[in-house]
Amino acid sequence: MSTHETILEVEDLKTQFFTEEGVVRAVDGIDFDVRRGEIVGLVGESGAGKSVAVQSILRLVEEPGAIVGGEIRYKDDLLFGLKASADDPQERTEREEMLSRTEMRTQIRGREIAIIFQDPMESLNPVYTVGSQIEEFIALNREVPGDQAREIAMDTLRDVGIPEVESRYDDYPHQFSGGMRQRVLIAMALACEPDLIVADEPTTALDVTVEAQILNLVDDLQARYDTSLVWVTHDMGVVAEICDRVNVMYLGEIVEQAPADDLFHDTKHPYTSKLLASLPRPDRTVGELDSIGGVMPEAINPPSGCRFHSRCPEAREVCAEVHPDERPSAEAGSHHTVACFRDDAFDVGYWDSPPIETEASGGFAASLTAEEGESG
Amino acid sequence: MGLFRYATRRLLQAIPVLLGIATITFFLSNAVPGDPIDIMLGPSPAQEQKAAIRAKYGLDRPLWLRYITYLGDVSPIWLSTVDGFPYVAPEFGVDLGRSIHFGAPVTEKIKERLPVTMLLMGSAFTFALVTAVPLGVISAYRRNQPTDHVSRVVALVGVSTPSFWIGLELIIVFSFYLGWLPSNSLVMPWNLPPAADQAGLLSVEFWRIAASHQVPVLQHLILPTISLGTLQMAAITRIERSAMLEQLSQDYVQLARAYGVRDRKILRKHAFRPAQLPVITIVGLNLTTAFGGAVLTETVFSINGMGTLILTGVLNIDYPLIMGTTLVFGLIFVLGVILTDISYAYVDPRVSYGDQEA
Repeated sequence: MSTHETILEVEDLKTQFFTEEGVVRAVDGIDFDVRRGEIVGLVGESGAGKSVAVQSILRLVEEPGAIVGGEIRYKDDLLFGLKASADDPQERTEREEMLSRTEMRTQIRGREIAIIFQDPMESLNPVYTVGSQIEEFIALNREVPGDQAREIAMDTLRDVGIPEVESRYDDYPHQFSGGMRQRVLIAMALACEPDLIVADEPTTALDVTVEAQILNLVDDLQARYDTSLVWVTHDMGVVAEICDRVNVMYLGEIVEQAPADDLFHDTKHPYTSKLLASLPRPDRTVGELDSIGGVMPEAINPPSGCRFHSRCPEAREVCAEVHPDERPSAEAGSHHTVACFRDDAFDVGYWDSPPIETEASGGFAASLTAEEGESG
Repeated sequence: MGLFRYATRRLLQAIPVLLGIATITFFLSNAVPGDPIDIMLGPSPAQEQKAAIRAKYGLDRPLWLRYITYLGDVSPIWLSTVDGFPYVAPEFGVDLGRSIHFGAPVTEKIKERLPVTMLLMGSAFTFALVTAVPLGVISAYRRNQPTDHVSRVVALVGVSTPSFWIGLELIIVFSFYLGWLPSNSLVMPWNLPPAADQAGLLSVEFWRIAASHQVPVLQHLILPTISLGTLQMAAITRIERSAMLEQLSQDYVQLARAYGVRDRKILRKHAFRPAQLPVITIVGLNLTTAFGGAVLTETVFSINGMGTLILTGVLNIDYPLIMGTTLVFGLIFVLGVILTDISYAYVDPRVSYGDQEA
């Protein structure tokens, strides 16, 4: 599958929120791409910047937030890109070939890239019927005659497994369960026939059995419609289930990028290891889950050096001083990139550097923050 | 299924409410110190004359008997009275008694005054809604921009200015100095000049007269409408703005944006309809409480409506008039609440007609 052409390319994307407390660097220079027919995962804890990253792709970030740098290319279109201004080299302006707001709305949103939000309970308008909502988006994003939109909507609803579509079509969202609403939202995305669907934690609000059904459904439909997907989640189990390639995000940065199998069997970054270790597993009985010590720092004032060093069990002095960029891993090859000095791709003297006390290694500060985390 | 049944049930529930209103107003107005007959006859009246009038209005009977008689007269189909003593027999029609001050049946007075107040209220709320809803939507859409600030100041001034003061200022400027608009009373749209009746309903002349008659109607309406409607406009603008702001941040509105729906359509369709619930609540409740404001407006503009009628009743301790007008206000309030609930269910499919409560 991975031999297909690249349809989405994100390069050094930076999205910031200008708040009263300071500039929140929610997404701070991430690179990733999506190829045709592929499911790409975006994994990380809450607050890692995953949602902001996907909203940036559709340029949905609103005041006080803004995309401040980087490039987003979709097929032949430039969704976002800056250049140095002619008058003032410090000033950066939008490039001419960048799509205008209107072009984003009429050519990209819904038509080429569709989105599925996290909370199915909140994503459907309570005062309009389910059918009419899908129909509206079809009519808007596909060149079909009016009466055909209804047929397409019904067919897609059948595809995602809504029973008795004819009678449920004119029902209101409150008459649907959470899992059914999520199916409706998936149908909504599929019915517009986009080439890329961005799913922002679409199963987080659902219970586990429903989640499993939805994941199977997505796997099926993705193969049938040959749509690419960006799947945002914090759940490594979900990643294992459906993703082809995975990007692990921590505090606005991507720290590891690899095909799903490699990520699980040849984990390079300590953060990824900790995420995997914190996964509950039915085949092992443990007294306490191995959670990641501490909480994610604020994106207003990220830690110096490697952003994960404050919680990393492997942290050494060099980690607090030098910031690791993302590089292809020395042993695993070019398709597996990592931003950790423990990899031989880096030559900063990690192994000679003395280890430092961190929250993860159980100092006084760690027990404090851990308690805060539990009570909050 | 439920609309008709729901409305019927709510109307039946209104009966005890109205009974309560009748009871409370009866005893309250009788507890007020002062004697309507004294007010009527002036200082040092003849005792025989006083007694005769007392007997005429039934005020010489004991309070409990007057209460039962009154309930019987007021209820459309229940009790009847013979020689002042109640017995159970079907008697149809509402009798609110005879006004001591006017010497005429209260029902007749209300029939004459209610349409005037209805016209004023309808006009004031139309004015308020037509201005406030777009203003609220625009200031939500352009929040924290100049348009929003202007609308905020207008709303603040509108909420904090007493309606009678606005009325007086309007009269001073537009009637007294400029002489553009009349400052007193209303002209009813259907009270056509006699020439129209002579011309006959089917003639062209009739419709010409009827049309030109609407000009003074509007002229008389403008100032009282602004005076009574400003407060409502200000309140509705603020509610509309905050309701729209809340809707614009909802996931389903964001989703519409993510699917390429134009901003205008999002405002008009996706955010607007769910935003109307709090607006309906406020309009529904204010429609009824604004009758209180109507008393002031009617006084300032010398309009012979329900407001001035109830005022006359109170000033003259005219028991039947006070009770009759209060009952009508109560009925309007109950109907207003029912209508509000029904329009809720119309706007929001999640609100059912509440069969489970029955």
